[in-house]
Amino acid sequence: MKRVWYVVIALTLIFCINVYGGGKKEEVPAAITFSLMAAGTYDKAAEDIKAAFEKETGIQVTIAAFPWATLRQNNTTDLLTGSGQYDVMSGSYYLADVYEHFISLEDYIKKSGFGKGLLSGFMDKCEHFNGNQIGLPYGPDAYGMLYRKDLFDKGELTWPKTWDEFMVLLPKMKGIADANGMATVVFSGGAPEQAPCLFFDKYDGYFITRGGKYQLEKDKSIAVLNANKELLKYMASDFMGLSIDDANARFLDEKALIIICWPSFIVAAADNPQKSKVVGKWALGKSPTPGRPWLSLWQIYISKYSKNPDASWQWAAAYINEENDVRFFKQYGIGPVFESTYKNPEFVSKYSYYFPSQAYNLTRAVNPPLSGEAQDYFASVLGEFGLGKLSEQGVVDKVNAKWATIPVPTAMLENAKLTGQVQK
Amino acid sequence: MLLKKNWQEKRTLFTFLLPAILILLVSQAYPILYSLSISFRQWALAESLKPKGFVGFNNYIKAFKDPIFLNAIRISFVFCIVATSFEIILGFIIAYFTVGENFFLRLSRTILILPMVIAPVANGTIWRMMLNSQSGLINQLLRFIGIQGPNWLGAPGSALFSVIAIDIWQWTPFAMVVFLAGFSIIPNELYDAAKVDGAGRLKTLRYIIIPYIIPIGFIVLLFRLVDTLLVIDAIYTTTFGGPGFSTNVITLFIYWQALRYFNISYASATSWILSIFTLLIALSLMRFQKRVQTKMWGA
Repeated sequence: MKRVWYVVIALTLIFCINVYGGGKKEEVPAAITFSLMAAGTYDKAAEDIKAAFEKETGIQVTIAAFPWATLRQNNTTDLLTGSGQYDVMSGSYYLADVYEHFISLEDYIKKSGFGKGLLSGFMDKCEHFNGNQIGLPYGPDAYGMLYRKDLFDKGELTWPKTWDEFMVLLPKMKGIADANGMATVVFSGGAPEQAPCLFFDKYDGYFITRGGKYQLEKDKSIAVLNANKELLKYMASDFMGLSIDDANARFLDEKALIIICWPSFIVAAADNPQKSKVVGKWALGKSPTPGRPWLSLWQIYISKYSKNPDASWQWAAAYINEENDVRFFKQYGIGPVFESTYKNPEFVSKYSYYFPSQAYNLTRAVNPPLSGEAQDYFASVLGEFGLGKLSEQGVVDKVNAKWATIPVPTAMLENAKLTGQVQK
Repeated sequence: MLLKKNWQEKRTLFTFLLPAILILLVSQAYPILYSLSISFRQWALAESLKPKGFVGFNNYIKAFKDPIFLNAIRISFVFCIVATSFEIILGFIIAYFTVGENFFLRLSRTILILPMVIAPVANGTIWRMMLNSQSGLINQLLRFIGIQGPNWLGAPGSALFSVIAIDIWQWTPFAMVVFLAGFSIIPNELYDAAKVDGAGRLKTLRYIIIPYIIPIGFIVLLFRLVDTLLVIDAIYTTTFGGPGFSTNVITLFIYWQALRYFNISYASATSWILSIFTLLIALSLMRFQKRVQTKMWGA
């Protein structure tokens, strides 16, 4: 009888061990989805490292690439509905309304030491929420000016350091442009959302008052608009109809002395003899002072609804590191974020006309702390100014009246404080 | 006995209709009523996942004080009246000249209908490229004959004109098709009688075709008025509401509020304003149609 009891007890123990975890469990590999822009660059770079990453970590990665507007919509909807379809997301400051749906990366950053070697101030330029960093930077660009260095040298002009110098030099630049049958300045005025760049790059006033309301600093804004009014006289006569591609084509076709643009959209073409007549003739100017050039800084965020935040972090860290910074720049022309890439001897000698200025502009550039609604309205009003429908004072009054009704997202306020864009 | 049978029949009918009624209630009536309730509450998705408290007519008052919304109403009405007028007049003229059964008329009708079958977004994108001031086909052609083409999409006046023209190009065929169908219901005897009475082409048009076509014209008018008030695709793909606010129509305004800024309650309120406007227009038009018909054909 006793023996029977022993057998029963032994069988029960075996059963319990099997049921409560002692048995051999089927291990389910972690799987994550990374949403990003289908640009033929960032997405290709992700595809490029995917296989090696999966092999090394055992984490399955799905890359979901969309055009910009769709990406913004998909990311936002996913977060607002708490679906958790995308674990890792690509975005920027326009996601301010949904920052609370991203996890804090502070612990991961502390443990891994991420951030060492990034361009100066770039960790502060990443988005923060409740004092915690939520984004990791990649693919930066700063609105800037490419100019015809050969013609500047020939005309014995040096690139101006300040906007005052720039305005003084404009008639001389026009002389050179006229002599060469080209426009002095070209800009994509036909892309309405680009209009604010002409304001941001000269404005060093605040965007948010001490009381936490959107507002333009009156005197500084009027001064900037005055300068822009003068600058508009030197623009190609039809600049208000030019798309980004049209404006770029003008410069590449030797029809403009200066282009105000996102450098990353034109640099590769400008160096390609098949696409450009200005190979070896151009340089990127250091953005004159004062002002804060418009920063485009892609960031990687991890969704609060991700079932695999650790795996998501592993992917983010694999995507953004010094090795890939060089590799992605070489292969896809993605703007580097690490200081070491900008000091890479090969690049420094090869891109002397571009790299130092780009690094300088990037350290000065910031994201304006504007919500989508505030920025869209601002861009439309500046469009009216460009068409001559509003005076400088009219722009400031109209913008401030509307902005008074638009709430500042808490996260924007935090970032504005970090980047010095709040009234002191 | 008969009454009982009738009631039973009705009950059977209702039982068969019930699933469809339930689907309609869930898929249409509920969202409509929900959006109405949201319009009286405060809800920005970015602030909260659920609607907040009751705010009465605040969202509606805000809309009527919002200069961008008022401007959007103005632009929408200009768009609606100009586009609809041209579409009806041109549609009628084209239908009048392409009615008939020979091969060339049939071929022309097929070709003329093509714009209508292109997806509006594709249509807008094609026109954006064609209207490009630098490389667009229109300005290239103008340059070829020595004319410097305007900046079609870059100046306020020409941008509005361009988006209206795109709508006319795409939807005139719709008016044409309906008018063509209308021509086919006019009895041939009437034409024969008119011929016997010595009526020329113009008199036949004035006394036979137009009176017959007017009820159909009202249908086209109703469809196009409502449709042009709801236009968004062509504007989204060509000007995105710019330059400035010059092509910012109500639907685009609502889209921005709802899906770019997530101001759900404000977007609901402005949607209801648009729906009420559209409904009023449709009702007045139907009333007017009835009056015209009574005047022309008697009660």
